[in-house]
Amino acid sequence: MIENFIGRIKPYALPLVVLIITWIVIASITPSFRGAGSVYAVLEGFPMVGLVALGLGVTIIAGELDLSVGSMAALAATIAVLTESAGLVGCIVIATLVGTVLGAVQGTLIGRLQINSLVFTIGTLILLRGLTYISSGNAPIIIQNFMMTDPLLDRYWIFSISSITALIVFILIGLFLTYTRWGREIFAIGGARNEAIAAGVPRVQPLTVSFAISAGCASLAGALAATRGGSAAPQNYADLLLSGAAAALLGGISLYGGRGSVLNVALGVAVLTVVATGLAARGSAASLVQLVTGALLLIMITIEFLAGRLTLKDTIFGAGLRGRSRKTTDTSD
Amino acid sequence: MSEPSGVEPVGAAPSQSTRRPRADWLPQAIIAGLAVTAITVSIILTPSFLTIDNIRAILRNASIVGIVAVAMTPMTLSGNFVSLAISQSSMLAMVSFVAMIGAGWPQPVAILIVILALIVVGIVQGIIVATGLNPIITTLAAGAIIYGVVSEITGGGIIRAGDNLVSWGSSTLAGIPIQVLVFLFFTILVTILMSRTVIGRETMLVGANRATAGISGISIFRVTILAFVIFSVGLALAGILNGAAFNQATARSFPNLTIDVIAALLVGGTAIQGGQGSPLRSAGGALLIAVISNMMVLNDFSTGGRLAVQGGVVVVIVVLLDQMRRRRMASS
Amino acid sequence: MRLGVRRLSKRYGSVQALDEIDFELRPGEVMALLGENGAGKSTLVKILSGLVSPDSGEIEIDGSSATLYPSARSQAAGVAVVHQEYSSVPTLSVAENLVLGQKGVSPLWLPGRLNARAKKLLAAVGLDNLDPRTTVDRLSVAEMQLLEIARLLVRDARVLIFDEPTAALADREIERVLTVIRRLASEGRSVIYVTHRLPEVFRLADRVTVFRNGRSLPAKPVSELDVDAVITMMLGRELGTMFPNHGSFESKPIFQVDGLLASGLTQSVSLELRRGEILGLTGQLGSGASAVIQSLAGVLMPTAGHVQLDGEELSLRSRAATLKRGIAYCTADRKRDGIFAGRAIRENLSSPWMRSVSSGGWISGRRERRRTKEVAAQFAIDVKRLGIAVSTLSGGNQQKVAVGKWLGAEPRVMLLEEPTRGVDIGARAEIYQRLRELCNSGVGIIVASSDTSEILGLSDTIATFYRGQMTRIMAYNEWTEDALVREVMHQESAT
Repeated sequence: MIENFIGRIKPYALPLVVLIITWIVIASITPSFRGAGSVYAVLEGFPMVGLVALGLGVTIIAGELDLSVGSMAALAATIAVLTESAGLVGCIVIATLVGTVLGAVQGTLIGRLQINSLVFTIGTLILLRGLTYISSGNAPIIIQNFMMTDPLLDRYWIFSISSITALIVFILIGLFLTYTRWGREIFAIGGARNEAIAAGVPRVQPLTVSFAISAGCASLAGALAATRGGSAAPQNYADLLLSGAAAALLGGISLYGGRGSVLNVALGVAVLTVVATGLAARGSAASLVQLVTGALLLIMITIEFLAGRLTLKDTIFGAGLRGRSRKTTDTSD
Repeated sequence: MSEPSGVEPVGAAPSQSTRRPRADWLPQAIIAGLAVTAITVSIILTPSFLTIDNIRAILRNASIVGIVAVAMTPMTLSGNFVSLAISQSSMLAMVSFVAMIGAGWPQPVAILIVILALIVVGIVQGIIVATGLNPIITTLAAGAIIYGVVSEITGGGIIRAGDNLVSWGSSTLAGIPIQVLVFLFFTILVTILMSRTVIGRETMLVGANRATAGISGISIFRVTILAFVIFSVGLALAGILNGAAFNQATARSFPNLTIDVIAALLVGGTAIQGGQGSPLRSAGGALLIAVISNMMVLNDFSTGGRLAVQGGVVVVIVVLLDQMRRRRMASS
Repeated sequence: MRLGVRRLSKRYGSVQALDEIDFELRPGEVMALLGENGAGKSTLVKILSGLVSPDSGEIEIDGSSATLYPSARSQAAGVAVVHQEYSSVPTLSVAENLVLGQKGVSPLWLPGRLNARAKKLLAAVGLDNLDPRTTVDRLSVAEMQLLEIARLLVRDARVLIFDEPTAALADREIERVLTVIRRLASEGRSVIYVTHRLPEVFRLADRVTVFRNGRSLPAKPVSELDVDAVITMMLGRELGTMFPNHGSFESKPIFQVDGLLASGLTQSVSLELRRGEILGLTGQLGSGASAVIQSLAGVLMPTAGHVQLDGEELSLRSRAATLKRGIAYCTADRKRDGIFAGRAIRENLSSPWMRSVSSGGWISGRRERRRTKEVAAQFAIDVKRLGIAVSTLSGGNQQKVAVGKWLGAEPRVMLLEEPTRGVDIGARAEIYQRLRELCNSGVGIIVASSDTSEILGLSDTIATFYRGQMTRIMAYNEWTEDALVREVMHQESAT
């Protein structure tokens, strides 16, 4: 029983330790980052960076990478503002749906053409950004009926509508990835693509689903932000790729694919938000947050790499970062 | 699928049967064809396209992107994908150059130091990547770190050359802008390096098949480091040239360079998995994108329109090249 | 008749892999499929599993005509293959792998249901004690093998094909696998058991079909055969004049290997190579022969042992280290790591010795062209077309490039693995000739090959390997092909 529990905690040990340490450090040097307020601040990181990291994380688990998340968020933000007449919920739903469909198209093309997702999404990154500019008329657009968005500004103890929405999405995606065939197939093609296909997993569909999730989450993030802030600017959210990737990897999603869970992403988002909030509270510029994010990202992939190289596989540093099993086949015939 | 070994055929076939070679030149032909079409269409539709001033503007725009695209080509050729730290690295060069000039340093010294500084930054990334870490994530992180550091130091403000303005920044030599000359020489230099030197050949081979290269004794580590060094030199040149032209810089300089350079490289036909492509092609890609971009500006395309077209072109060409490559691999 | 194959043929370029073979399988029987490497066994398996379509011939399953290409059709027809390479996803659990890719499974994968279902399947293959929640990357090789079999059970397959399933297993584990297979057959399924292991054939199979040079011999009941008879059926290929004469060599060793131990070897190996000698290492899958070559090449890190080259200690730490001392290494799989497929023939040929045709880092185009022309001419590769991509050449010519490129590197020792895999007869003869010439010029050559007749024809000294150990080493004229095959299959001679 205890052994089972420890086994399940192991993959999260390192990010959890990092989170606790970071929280303590930031809380001690930043007076405003204490108590319920601090938890609220961390949860507020989920609607934006959190959702993007979640979607990005799913594509990483699938063995791919969706570089177009920033542009997708911007496009969705614009769509949300443009469709404000559908009401608060309506415009968010529309924006998210459009994004999800676009993501599904991307995933299907990547799967059918068997093209490298990095190469493909660099192109769509530019294309979607262009579409964003076009649909917003090359200038920031504002929500006319700004009172409609008031509910989003309310705070309920440590939550807000946005963060609750984000958390619900996290839970739903988490359940999907763990308990459905489609979800597990994403892990399969990410962990060992050739073997999975040989076993009968469809080649294209898991990719369609992964990229649909990625684009859908990014779109929801953009839509929530736009409605909350009351406006959308076509050049926004270009930095989301960095933050999203950093959060996913910091939390323990493996770049090798086939491993990880939404809990990993959540931990990573929490760490990143703690750092960002702490720095912001001290008046540091956004550029410093980028610096720290970049440094943390580098440190994290170095640790994962070293853990794979040295035989730290059974300590908490290597737990959940196991390398692939060795193939024992000889090369003859 | 593997062929069986040691089987005697019924009715022995001749020992050397060469299949007809597929057209290796086809991708280049298609790109060139597109370029010619684009230019012809531009000339027909836009009378102001074929003026000296406009050509010069195109070449100037193409040069900065082109220098960096050519500089990144060895890295992509050797299978190390692309760098996502392009904008930030060139910005670093530009800001440092302008800052040093503004502080009174002599120009040659400033140029040298900027180049060396970027080489060091590049080698650090190169070592990390050569050791085995993911190049996309590494450069993504490096870019953020560079931006953060420069931003902190400059406090987000504008760095100016002040009284020590650089005079040759917008000059021309025999009517050719200085950026274009540097672009030309740099392209020739890197092309010669890739095609005539041992290390250049090794770069191509590592990109073609990493495992075979290792067995043949080629040092993948050395190839990677060199690729990052060449890349850094190109980044430095781009930053210095722009710094000289504008005599000021901020931490947000070169906002679109990453995207423009990657687009130029891909459109030029260099396969991102390595082994296919050349610096000349990347230069061509930069020119093509500059022509298309210019054509759109002359025809009053909006920012969004231009981006959308650029993105669309990249997606289409990348898919085309990938499909052709795939077909060629399958037939061999 | 469960499965009937008539006059099946398949040609790969200039190589006739299957030449009008006949094959049959009854319900509930275990049919052993034997034959030397390259005799056509794996081609038949590929056709039956739908990976490859035959050029001509008929296939019937349970009386009605069947097309088994592509693999979806083969699976639908009830054919299931257990490959040497497993198709499990290491990061997923055993239970999940058992359900992966199956049709008719509910989209909801609740652990309770998955694990219960898994436990039933695992019990059928004797893995009762395995927790279905374990991820596959933590299983032993034997457990993974049994898991593969369990996956087949889900498919309700009528024809099960096992391709060398016990190659990497220990004795005790082999017994488990054989028991499971016997039980599967007794349930009415038909089993094709491809192997080189004669003891298993006699313990498990009902009948034996032997393939030879792409042709099939009529199936015989095991009860009518003994080891001698089987081996006689398998051999009988004319060696012909493909091999050059053996040379003479000095007595002083150029290469001395002492106590070499590495992954794939269960006992340390010591041997000597003399200047002008071709030493042949032969054994089946997992025998350890290729482990020796790979260690000596600097590609596989040894755990023990010393090697001396011309009296000096040789470091096996890396490929670069061994290459610098003059060790050439021609790999077993040219497509994977032997050639640069998209690059010109010329660039391939010069790749290991670029520095010797350059000065100060600059490649002398003239010198490179001259040297590569020389090498190409030696191997009868058209010298006028060295600028085209290697991938356009036939398999045999590609192999000539893979081998030939090392000639210009002026090696002291040349290591080769499976040097004529997928190569037609003409190219093979040329490669053997060049190797002998290289040898006569003072280079030592070690060849590892699973093709016993190749080793017999080419080598001056032959060492046999079995299950990670070197079993015997003798001069070529002390071996007969019969004795060699027996030694490799670890059979005592009847006489």
